[in-house]
Amino acid sequence: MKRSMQGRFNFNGWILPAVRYREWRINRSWYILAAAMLVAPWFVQLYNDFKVGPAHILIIQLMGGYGNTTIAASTVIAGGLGLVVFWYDFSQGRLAYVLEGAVERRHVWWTKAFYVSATIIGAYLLTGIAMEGAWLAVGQSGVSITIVDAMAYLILVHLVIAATAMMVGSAIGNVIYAAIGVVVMVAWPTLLQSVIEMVIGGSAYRLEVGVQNLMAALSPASVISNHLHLYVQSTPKVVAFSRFDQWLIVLWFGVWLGAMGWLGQRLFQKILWERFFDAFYFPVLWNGVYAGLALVTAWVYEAVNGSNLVGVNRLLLLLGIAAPMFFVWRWIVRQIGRRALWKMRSGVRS
Amino acid sequence: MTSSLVTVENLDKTFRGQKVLTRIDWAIPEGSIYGLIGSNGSGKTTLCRLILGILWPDSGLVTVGGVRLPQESGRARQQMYYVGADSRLGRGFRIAEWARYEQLMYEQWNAARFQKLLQAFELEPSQRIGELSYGTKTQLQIALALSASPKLLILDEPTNGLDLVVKRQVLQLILDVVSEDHTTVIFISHLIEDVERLCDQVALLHRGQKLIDGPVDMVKKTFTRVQGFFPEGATPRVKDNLREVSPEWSGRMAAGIARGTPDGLVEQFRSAGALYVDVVDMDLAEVVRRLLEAEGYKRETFHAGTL
Repeated sequence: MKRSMQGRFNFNGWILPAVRYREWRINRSWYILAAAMLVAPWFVQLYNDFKVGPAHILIIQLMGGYGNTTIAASTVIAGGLGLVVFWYDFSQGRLAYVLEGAVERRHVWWTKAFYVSATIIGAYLLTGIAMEGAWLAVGQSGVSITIVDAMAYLILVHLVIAATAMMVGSAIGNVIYAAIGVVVMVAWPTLLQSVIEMVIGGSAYRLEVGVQNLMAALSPASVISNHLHLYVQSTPKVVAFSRFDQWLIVLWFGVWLGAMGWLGQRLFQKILWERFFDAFYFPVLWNGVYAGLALVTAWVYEAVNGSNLVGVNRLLLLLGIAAPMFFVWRWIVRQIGRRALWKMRSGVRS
Repeated sequence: MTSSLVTVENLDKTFRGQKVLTRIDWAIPEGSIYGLIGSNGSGKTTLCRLILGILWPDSGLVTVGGVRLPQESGRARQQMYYVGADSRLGRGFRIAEWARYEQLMYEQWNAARFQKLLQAFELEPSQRIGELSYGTKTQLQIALALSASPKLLILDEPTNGLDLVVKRQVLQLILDVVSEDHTTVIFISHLIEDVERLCDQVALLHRGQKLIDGPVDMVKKTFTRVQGFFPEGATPRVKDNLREVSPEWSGRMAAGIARGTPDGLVEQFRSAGALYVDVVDMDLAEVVRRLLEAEGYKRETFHAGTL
């Protein structure tokens, strides 16, 4: 009895039973919905495949192609889950006020991480078991490594996206800004690659290829879209890649996951309580909005005026327009804010 | 000498560049019921959230039980319970489910007391929190707070939304439980008569600064009303003698307010010709009003037809 009591109130632990209980009660609909959305397409496809032909070949084809065709949607689901568990808790669960109780923010963060991970792992574990079951049911002997590989990879990819979303959700209170933030986070090397290519402008082919390869390897979005087939050995492309490449990707995703987990918890612990009612928990992030608006303005201006510049000159022109626009947008947004037209949530009582 | 459960030293807090609290020093004796009153936006809730460790001070120190609070400590907050106007109750929960959550959170949870309080407040465990009225939610919060058996109970406007009968019951229950548990209470309210009835100490905040604090009886002695009966009435001679006092006249009775000891004012009344002079204690509300007015906190009143 004493041991169980100590467990309940062990503040050194990562998850408190009270926080776990509340998290499931508040967000359980989202966890169940996300798991169902991740699993359902696979089961529907499996059912259809069984109806039409040689099932074991179709299962192989399913594993080979289906992950690729559904991954865009399923990563959106994983990212959405990572964001919604914070957003819904603040808006409906009154999370800011719940923090007045005997809970710590890191417990809240890791409890959400636990359930998000369990949802993704559970969904693909279930899918994998169903696939293996079907594999054996059609007369194949032994476990299909293809299925194990594919499911392990899908779990990792979705955890990466969900962890990124959770990290962003720990810093941004407005769900639209947060969604943009997630896209930027998983694709920033690709975005950077576009800028570098624009600057190089075809003048240095080897450098361009080098940049492409480096950025493609750094960007989770690129890795996900380019390398899913690595894990699906039935596709011809696998010949070109070794197990070593696969492990490199696993390693990189592992580092990314760890970084997102650490950063997300740290950010969530650093937020001033009174900022929980703002669109950005860290006001400095508004600079990202001003920069984004300034770049769009510069791009539109350049497109409308039909500039013939290329490479560095084009980049300099864009930056030359964007730099003053940054301050113009900053002034406009602050004026709107001062007039209380931009309030995302209620203020703080004093 | 009672030791202090909570000590606040030189506390400053700013929200978005605006100073909310300035150099607050405050010591709350263990087992006391401390009333915290003040004008709107004076920083009462902010001060309590700083004590809880929810808000972080710009500078200054908060210690609870002699230990400086870390930026966030669930273990320290096991000993504190905050009942605020912005309720943390989950809207989608039933009462029993939220009680289960609190039971899992608070080590000293008193389940038997919670059941009794639910009965006293005529609440059903199966009721959905989202469907409760504001006043009923307040009662539920108080039941939860008293059942968590904290050492420090912070009640932020706990009687808002309660009718007279329920308010009386709630205040009595709070008194009963805190005296049984020897709980220290910070009681924030705009209803100064509630503070006067419930609290043994009181602090007054205004524009982020503490104007006064101490035992209620001592604070009430900040001002004293002195009344004098002048047989000749408010004649020019009497008025001239009392020009420094500027008393309020009601027939042949003059009333003046003395800050601190009333002896000087009594003497002035007598030398101005008062037949008899009476010193009357003021109620806390009037003392608070005068303290705030002395700080320049006044609002114009309008008579019907002037708006």
